This record gives sequence, structure tokens and C-alpha cells, in this order.
Amino acid sequence: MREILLGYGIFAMYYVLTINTIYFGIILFSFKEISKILKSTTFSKYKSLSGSNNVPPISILVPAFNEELTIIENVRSLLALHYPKHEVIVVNDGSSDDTVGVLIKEFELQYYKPTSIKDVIKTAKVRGLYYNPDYPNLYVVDKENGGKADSLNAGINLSSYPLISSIDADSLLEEDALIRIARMYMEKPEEYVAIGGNVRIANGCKIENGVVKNVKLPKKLLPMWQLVEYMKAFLGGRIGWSSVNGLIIVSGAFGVFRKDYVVEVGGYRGGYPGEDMNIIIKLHRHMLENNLPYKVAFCPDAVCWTQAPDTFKILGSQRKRWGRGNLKNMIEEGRFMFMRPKYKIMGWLTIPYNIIFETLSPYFRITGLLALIGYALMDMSGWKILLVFSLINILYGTLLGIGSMLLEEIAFQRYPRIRDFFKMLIYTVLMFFGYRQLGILWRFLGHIDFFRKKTSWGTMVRTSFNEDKKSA
Amino acid sequence: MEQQVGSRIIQTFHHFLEYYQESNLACGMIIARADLNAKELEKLKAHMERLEPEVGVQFSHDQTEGLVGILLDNRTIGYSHFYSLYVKDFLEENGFLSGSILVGSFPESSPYAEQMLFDMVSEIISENGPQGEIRVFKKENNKKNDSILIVDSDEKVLELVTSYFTHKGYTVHTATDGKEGVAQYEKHHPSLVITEINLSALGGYQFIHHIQHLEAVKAAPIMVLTNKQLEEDVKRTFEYGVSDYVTKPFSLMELESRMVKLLQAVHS
Repeated sequence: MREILLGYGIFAMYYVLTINTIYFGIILFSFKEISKILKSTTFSKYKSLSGSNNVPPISILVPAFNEELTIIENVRSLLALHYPKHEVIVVNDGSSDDTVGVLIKEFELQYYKPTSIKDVIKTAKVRGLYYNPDYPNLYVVDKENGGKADSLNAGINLSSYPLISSIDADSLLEEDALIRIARMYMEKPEEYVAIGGNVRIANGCKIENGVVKNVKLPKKLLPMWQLVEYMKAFLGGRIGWSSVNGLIIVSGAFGVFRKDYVVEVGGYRGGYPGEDMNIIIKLHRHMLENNLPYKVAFCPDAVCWTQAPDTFKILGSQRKRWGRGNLKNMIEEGRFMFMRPKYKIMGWLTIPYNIIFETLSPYFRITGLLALIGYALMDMSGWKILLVFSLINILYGTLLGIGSMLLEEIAFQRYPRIRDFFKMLIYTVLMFFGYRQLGILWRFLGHIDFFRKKTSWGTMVRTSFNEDKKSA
Repeated sequence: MEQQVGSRIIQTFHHFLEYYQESNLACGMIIARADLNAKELEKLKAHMERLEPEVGVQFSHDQTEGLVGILLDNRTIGYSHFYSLYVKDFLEENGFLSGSILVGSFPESSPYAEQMLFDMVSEIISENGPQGEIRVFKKENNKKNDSILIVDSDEKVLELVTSYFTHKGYTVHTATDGKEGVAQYEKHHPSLVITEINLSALGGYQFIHHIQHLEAVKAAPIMVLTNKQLEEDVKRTFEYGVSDYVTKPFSLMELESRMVKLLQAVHS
């Protein structure tokens, strides 16, 4: 019995070690890619591009559910983006607060019957369209509640441009974020089907008039952990995944898509969270099945700032949602691509990695931990091996964290102070004592929700960016 | 540009002048070229209060520029001139005076209180007359009193335009986004506005729309200087009543000649 427990425990340890090793490989790709990114961004003239005739127009879709606190500031900053031609489509998803009302008041919008909205993708009933010719590129769609995916689909139905961009109503884009993605898109317009932006944590930053003026690290524990986590996922992970065209997700907070392909794969899937990962997997599948050359890319210099949850309750609910969405996506799409040669890097690497090391990780990790605890209770003699394994695990993880921070310092330098670097480093190490374990637990609870067919969206409490300004 | 003539005096009197402007009450203003410290300023204050106890008066000084500013509550240009004679005597006797004295009053000398102080300070800094001379400030006194407001998020453009046009004798105010632009416009009432369309906080179109619908003041001509090269933008800005449209990269000479033409139309 003892041997079995130890054996399983050690197997779980190797499992974790393998995750880290794969991640290490991905980070190496990120490093390889970063010099290319640096060169192409420093020598691009974004200012003149932002007024050029040759940049494709973009429809920005902003699904809004109970966003009356932040929506005005958000729309203002979207309208003022430095971009030659874009329209902002706010889709009110049957909010119970006055989201539509505050928009109508602020922009003096007029009601129109939704006759101009095409029916490309089926959505919940659209109640009306609001518009004011003084703001010719702002549209507000008011529809009945149908979820975020449904709102995005309604936005697609109204949009008039070939590119669409999905943006969370609680996020803020940097003024040149869109033009930076467009620059990348224009390199190979026939190949790029989706490009994701870099999501950064705005907690602790000073925000004025919808613009992040003073970048600072968050003061609170949870946002700080998420900052380190995001940096690792986005810079360390997604740059590398993108360079091998194995990116499985473009963050729902900010991404740009080819509208024709999104429509071809049937638009966003409703009913479940994780629609941002779902659309990317569907795009991969569609393009590979039809033998079309394509790329799903990550554009790290296009920045979107978002407010990270700062309480355990909200963060937990977000992570459970992610866990539920991830499981659904793997059951619905992932398993059809698992280890199938037709799906190339997606089939051989991305999907297997996600199923084995992301979706199933709670089971291996939790049972592994239990086995080790059980073993330790029966016999203490193996503690040295366990300690060595744990240390290797933490050191490996820290190394990956440092790698991501180096990428940040090489290419972006948003946190230039030495003190900030060490603060991030400390939190990278601290992550292994509590935060990681919580993340695993939340994902597991998300799976339980999935099997209990829970459909509610959980709590997501918005705080106004203005409030943040006051407290900062 | 405020930073350039960022005299302490302007900051000290800012709220007072805002008040006079809003309530449309008169005030006298004396700016003297003199080197004295806080203690010596107190002396001047005590001296003047003894001589003219009736008048409400505020003193401020700027040691780095070597300036003294005096604000007289509810006084005309005549009285301010009379008052400045005493000030001159005191400054001269104590050896503080290092140049000329400039006297003005709101609203006689200028309809914009803050702009008046601003112009007075820049005038005395740029052309300091002979020691002891008392000049009356008149808006027409300046060869080119035209002030320009330029709004652009690109600091380099602001720097370039500011240095060029300041050198040419204009007063240049700057703002980096639409909201700040509106604030600067309301404060300085420039003769001409140059703006980018790509602006944060308040977009270019909203900024233009806003300043054209400010009540009480006739809007200054607006010139667009932008990265935007789309025909729709050109069309739309002219529909908004903008006077001219220049795209980047731009030539300063061209910008100046277009500006001069617009300003001539304003003056005629």
C-alpha cells in the first residue's frame, strides 16, 4: 500500500515536472519571437498609420451587462481610439440596471427600430437600436438577455466592417492598441483570422478620463498574484504558442477577428462560459479542415487594461467559470482534435496539452497530493524525496516566472523600477504557497458545477474606474 | 505655454482673476521688474498699506524671474497708475528695482483677466524697458498679441509648434487631450485653435463641437492638424465648421501662412 501511494505521488510529481518542461519549451519560443516583435514594433509608424487610408476598418463590439458605472467612460475612450475608421457597437444584454439609459442620456441617442440589423446569426430578441448622427460611429443595440456570446453575435449582425473586435465593457484599451493589431493583421490579411491583445491588470494604476496615466503594481494581494500570473500566461505563454500557431485562446477582454470566418463557424457559442476559447478552437478546426492557410496570433504590444477581481469570492467565481468553460470546450471540440494528424500542432500539442495538463490537472494534482499525505502519515522515511521534488517544482515555476518577467523587461518595460521587479519576483514565489492550490481547487469546483449542469453566471461585481482613481 | 512663463505670480493670482472674470468686477494690475525676497516683499506691503490703507490689495513675487505682482481690488487703470508711482519710489529707494513697471486693469486693458496677466508677464520678460519706466499695458501694444491653442497628444508636435510660434511672437498654449483643450480654451480664449482629431478623453470632433457651442464667446477659427487622411474626415471636419485641414507630416511654414490668413480674417 505504502509503495503504491509513494509511486502515485511520485508520478504526480513527474506530471507537474512535465507541465513545467513543456512550458519551458514554450517560453523558449517566446524568447525567440520577442526580438522579432521588438524590431517590427519599434520601426512601425503607428501615428501615421492611425490616419491612413489603407488600414481596414474595424467594428468594436462591447457586450454590456449591468455596466452603468463604467460604460460611459469606456465608450468615450473607445470613440477616441487612434484609428482611421472604426465603429463602436455597445450591446446591452438585457441589463437590470440603467446601462442603456445612461448611454442615451450621455450621447443624446435616438431610438430606431432594429430593421437595419441583419439576421446573419440567430440571437435573442433585439428591442431596438440607438443612434445619434453627431456620433456617427457609435451604435447601441438593446436586446433581451442572452449572455455574452449572444451579445457578440448581435453585434456581428449589426456590424458593417470586415474586422470585428470583442472588448469587455470593464476593460480599457490603450489609444494605439487597435492600430497595433491592425499593423500585424496587414502583414498577411489573408492569413490572420484572429489576433489577441495583451491583457494587463489595472488595479493600482492611476486612471484619468479612460486613460491609464500612471502604471503601478497593485497594492492588494489577489490582484498582485493575478498580475504575475497574467504576465506568465500572456508573455511567457501566448507569444510562444502564437509563434508555433498553437494558440488556443484569444482573451475575451480584447481580440480582433475576421468577421467572415467567425460567421462561417456559426458565431459565438452561447450558454456556457469560455466562448472566447471556443471561437478560437472552432476557427482552428474550420481552417484546418478546409486546408486553408491561417494564423491565430498574439500581439503583445496591443494593451488592454482590466480590473482584476480583488476578493476571494469574485475571483473564485471567475475561476470556476473558466474551469467549467474549459471542460465544456474540451468535451465539445477538443476531443475531436486530440492526437489527429489533420489538426497539426493543435492536434499533436495544444489540445493534448490542454486536456492532460490543464483540464485534468486538478485530478492528478489533488489525488497526488492526497497520496503523498497518506504516504507521509504512514511512514516519514520518504520525506527527503518529497522535499526535493517540491523544491524542484517551486524553483522550476519561479524560473518560468522570471523568464516572463525578463520578456517584459526586454520588450515593454511597463514596470521599470527595480523595486517592482523584486516585488513581482516575491509574488512569483509566494504563488506556490496557497494561490496555485486555490486555483486548482476552483477549477475542480468548476468541473463539479459543470456536471451539476449549473448554468448561472455567478457574481461579477463591477467597480467603477472612477472609484479606483479616488482610492489610488 | 504656461510652463514657459510659469511665473509664481500667475499661480498666486489665478483664483482671484477667475473670480473677477466671472463676476465682471474691475481690478488693477501692476507688474514690476524687481529683485526682492519674501521679507522685503512684506516691507513693501506694509509700506503701501500705510500709504494707501483704503484699497484691497494682493502682493506676489517671483524671485526666479525677478518680478513683483500687485493686484488692486476694484480699481481703474488711472488709480493703478497712481499706485504704481508709490511702488516705484519704494522699490527705487531700496534698490530693488531692476527694470520697468507695467500697469494694466481688467476689463479696461483686456476683456480676459487671466490672459491679461499672462500677456503682461510675458511682455515684461521679453522686452524689459529702461529702469523706472512705467508703461500702461494695452492689448494693442503688442505687435502680435495673437494667442494660439494647440491640442495634440504628441508632445513632440507641441514642442515644435510652441517653439516656432513663440519665436514668431505668438503666445502659444498647449493641451494633450480634448478635455484639457476645452479647459485651456475657456481659460485663455485664444485667437486660433489648432487641433488633432485623434485625441483621448474627449475626441477631436467632440472637442471641436464643444468649443464652437460655448456660449458668450464667439468661437475662434479652428484648424485641424492631423494624422487622419481619410476623405470622410476632411468632409466631416469642414461640416463641423472647421476653417482649415492640414495633414501630417506638415511644414511649419505652410502652417504659419495658413494661420496668418485665418487670423487676418478674424481681425478684419
